[in-house]
Amino acid sequence: MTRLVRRAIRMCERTPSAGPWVFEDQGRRYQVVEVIDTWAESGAWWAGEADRRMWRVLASEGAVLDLEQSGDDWFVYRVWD
Amino acid sequence: MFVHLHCHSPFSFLDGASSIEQLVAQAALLGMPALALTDHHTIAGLPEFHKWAAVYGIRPISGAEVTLTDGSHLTLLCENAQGFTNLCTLLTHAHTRDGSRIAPRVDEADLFEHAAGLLVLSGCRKGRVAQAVLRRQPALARETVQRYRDHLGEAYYLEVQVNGYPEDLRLNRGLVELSEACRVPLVATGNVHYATPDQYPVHDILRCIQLRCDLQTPHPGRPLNRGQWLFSATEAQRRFAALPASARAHTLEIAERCQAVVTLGAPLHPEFQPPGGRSAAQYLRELVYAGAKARYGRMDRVLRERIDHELEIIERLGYADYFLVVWDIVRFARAHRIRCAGRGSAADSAVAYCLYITDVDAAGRGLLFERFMSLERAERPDIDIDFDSRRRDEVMDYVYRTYGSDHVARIATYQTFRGRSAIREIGGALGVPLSVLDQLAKRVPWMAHADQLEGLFDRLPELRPLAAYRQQLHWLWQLAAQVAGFPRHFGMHVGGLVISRRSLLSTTSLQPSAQGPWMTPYDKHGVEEVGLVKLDLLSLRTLSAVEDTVVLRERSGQALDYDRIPLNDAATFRRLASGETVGVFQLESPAQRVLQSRLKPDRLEDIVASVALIRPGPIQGNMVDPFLARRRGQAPTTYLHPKLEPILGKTYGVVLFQEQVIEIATAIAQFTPGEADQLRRVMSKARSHREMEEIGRHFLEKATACGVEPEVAQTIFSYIQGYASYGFCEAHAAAFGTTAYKTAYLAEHYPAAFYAAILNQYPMGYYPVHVVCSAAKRRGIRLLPVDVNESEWNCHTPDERSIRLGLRLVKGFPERAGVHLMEEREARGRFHSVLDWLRRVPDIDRLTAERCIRVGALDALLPSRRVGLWQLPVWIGLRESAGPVGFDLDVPTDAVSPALGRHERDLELSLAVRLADEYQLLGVGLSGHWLELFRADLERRGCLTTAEVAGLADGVQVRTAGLVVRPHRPPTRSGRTVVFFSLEDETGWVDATAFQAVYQRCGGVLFTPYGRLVEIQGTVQRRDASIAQVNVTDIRPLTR
Repeated sequence: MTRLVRRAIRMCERTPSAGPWVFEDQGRRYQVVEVIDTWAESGAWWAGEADRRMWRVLASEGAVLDLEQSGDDWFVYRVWD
Repeated sequence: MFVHLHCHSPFSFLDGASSIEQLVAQAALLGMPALALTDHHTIAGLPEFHKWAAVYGIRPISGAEVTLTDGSHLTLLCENAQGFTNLCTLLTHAHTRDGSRIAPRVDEADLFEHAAGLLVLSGCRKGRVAQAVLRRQPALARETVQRYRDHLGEAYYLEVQVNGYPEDLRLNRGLVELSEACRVPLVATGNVHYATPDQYPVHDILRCIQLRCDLQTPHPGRPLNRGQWLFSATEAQRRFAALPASARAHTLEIAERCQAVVTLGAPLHPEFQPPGGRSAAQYLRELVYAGAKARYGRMDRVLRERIDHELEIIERLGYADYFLVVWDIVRFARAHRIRCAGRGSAADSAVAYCLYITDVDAAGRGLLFERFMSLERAERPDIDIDFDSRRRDEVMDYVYRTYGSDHVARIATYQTFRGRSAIREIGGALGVPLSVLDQLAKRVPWMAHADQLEGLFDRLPELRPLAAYRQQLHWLWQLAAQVAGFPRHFGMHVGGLVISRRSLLSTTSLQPSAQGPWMTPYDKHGVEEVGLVKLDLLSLRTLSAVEDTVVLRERSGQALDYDRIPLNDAATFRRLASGETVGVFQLESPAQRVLQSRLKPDRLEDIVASVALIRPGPIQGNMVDPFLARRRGQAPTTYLHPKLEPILGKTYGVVLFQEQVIEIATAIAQFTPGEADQLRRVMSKARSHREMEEIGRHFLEKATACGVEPEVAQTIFSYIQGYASYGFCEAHAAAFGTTAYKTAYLAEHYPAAFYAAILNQYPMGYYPVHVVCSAAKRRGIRLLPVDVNESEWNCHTPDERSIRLGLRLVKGFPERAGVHLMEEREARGRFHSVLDWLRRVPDIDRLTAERCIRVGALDALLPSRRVGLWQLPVWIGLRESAGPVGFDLDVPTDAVSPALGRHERDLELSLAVRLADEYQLLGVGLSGHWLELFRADLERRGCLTTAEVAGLADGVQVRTAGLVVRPHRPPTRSGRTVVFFSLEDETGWVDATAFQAVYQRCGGVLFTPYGRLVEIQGTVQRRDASIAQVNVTDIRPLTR
């Protein structure tokens, strides 16, 4: 089961290849254990929406999350229960 | 370093978003030594690809992405000529299964059988191996890789891509493991669909069009991101960093292995087998001399030298076989009484005239053979021949039978995104409301280029109601400009075919066209570039009309030898000067009719010049008035520059012919033969005006460097620029002029047969049916209505002063029903009632019967059409139930009571209804004319008939009204919009012109459904005592 969330988070540290490493969500700190998958999506370009990068990560405490990166902004996009 | 080995151009149809030039230029900019073109199931783009690769200095690798029978993809690259032949074979075989024209599929066994010289890459995510990895089927993946390795050995590679798609990481890990386990090398590819990231929107829109969805609709077939561009080696290093470096290195290794396999320019002439062991050159010479004797009677020294000179060039260039092939085709046509006439630059050739390929005496006219063929240019000859449109396919069949279907193929054409198609398709994908798109598409001129749409809002008043959507349409204009000229789908060239001396599969693949014949995917430019020699065997309805005229005359016992029509008939020239030339080939448009009435031609040369004058080229170059004035001795002949005199002396100092444009460029700007050739190609292509602008800059630079004043050079180039949108070569004008004169001769001397023949070929010509009928009536010819007891399938001439309209003119009348009707009438006599007709011709369905009633085809069997329409369901029912004799509900026509007679009158359909039916279902009003309904009101308001207008002097103010005929907005020299149209009423017709300001204010209605009947005000104009025209100052829809 998954939940669409799209909640803004703070990316505290990134990997040398600019991937997610340590982030804060709702006051809790998480570390990425593994990047399961990553892909890019172009937004609604006709409406001026920017491209985004998606990261499916296994985070500390066993959470599997889809993180969305849009420029310097980061979001939890989806939570896998 | 990195080389892209998987790349799609617009020839992947709705999946390639950059032109071939853009892709090649990007590869060259990035310093790549080579590039592969791998379009979906086609090699159509390869000639153009090789041409641009040579220009930009990179090695072209030929290939294709194919789909196997299980739906999976593979990428094929050609190592050598054998590989290319095998690729062509595979692509051809892929089309041989049922339903495979749209979705060709390669059989895997066929691939293994024809793998020599091919490199096989495992494909994108749709490849079988990639699919098996993604579906977590390792056994299937491994089995596939091993099988391909066993069959293909070192010619097989596992393809890896990093385009930012989900599960790329897992997929590529799996492919690396397979590579190690099976010892198959990896190769990195980009699956490129456009040159630079900013072209991603074009790709997305094209995919939406193909998938029939709009941008708001997510679809797995749409690109997820903008990663599929032609990225650099540095970007490749970044993308493929997590993969073995060998994946990138192998791209260079593969590029080294692959030779350029498409040879541009090497000739592949057809071969002809002369009888008796003679050589082709020998046999050609014999035939030409025999033909010269037949044409000229005796050959003087000048003619002999001319013929020998041409034969020498033909033989030295190696085209004796080609001429014999063409001669043989014409011989077949003439032997089977299939009317034909050569056109185009072949008419420059006396040899072609002696072989009866053309009908133009090139030697007598002083036409220069070198304009058709020369040792310096060493170009392939290109002979076009028009045939009677009904029998052209018999000639095609003869060619296939004679040379074999593996040596003959039709030529492709590419339907491209043009103005209207771009609006509908891109607008639909953008989600613009259909009603808006419909209005926009219908009001945009059909010839509008997709890259010029944005400017139309300012120029076309009929688009003003849509101005509210201007913002929404912003993306539409942008995207339309980018896809302008992209091929949208294949079509088949109307008459082009290639005949090759060796099997076509060594040069091209073959595929079925929508119409059935197999064709090469190359268009006429592509076939020329790869060295194939093409012929155009075209259909011309005018030749069918000529044949019909001859047949109708023979039926009435009067022989007519079209080939011996005298070329100096005074009555024919008077006919042309009168402007009454509806139906005359090339000379019936309003512009031509006015020209003839001003020119007052008295020789064939005048007709040749006329055909060339009324073309966008000379019009935009402002040639018409100077030509007329000088031809009639009313103005001196002058030249902008002394070097123009020898070139333009024959045409009174005016540029009329394409050859003159090339000669001017050479004389004024010292264009080299290569530059002149480029100019000729740009002039003949109308898809983009950018190339013409570029060549203009080059011309001005060179002309100025030669000492020509810049203003003079600019003016001279404006002559050339006008030709960017079509001028004629002199030989073509001569060929067309001869046919034009001869059809005018037929119109003058045999009007009934001629107009009946024209009607039999509809749709054809410039005007609708009712205009041709009006022209016939003005010549005193009676139009007899369609009648089930009198009409044949075709229109015919019961006598020299009448035309009986044929069943074919009734909308939707099935031809087989027409044939059965005549057979039945021939066998068992006339029909004596409608029911009798319906029973004896069971092919007549209810709709056809109703239409026949509405157009009056059963008037002689009915008291009124209204009664017929009321009774029709009963008769149909009786026919279907085969009711008992005696319960026939026909109303007899020979026993009508006075009471019934009065009742009948009350029952007849009104004139308006009858006219509506006749115009809609027959194309012409026989019960009267639309304007009769308005005449009383028009007279009260001071509107004159068109016959009255025709008699007015120059400068008189006038009001008139009529049915609008052929409103059009041709390109003009000034770039301003001028609308030309004609108005027809019950007395005749008149031509009218609305200039820009009038058009902007009130002329847009002419291009809407509200502008079919209009009233105009304006001033009568008669230049040089020509036929009257109206210079319009106001236009209003006609209402009651």
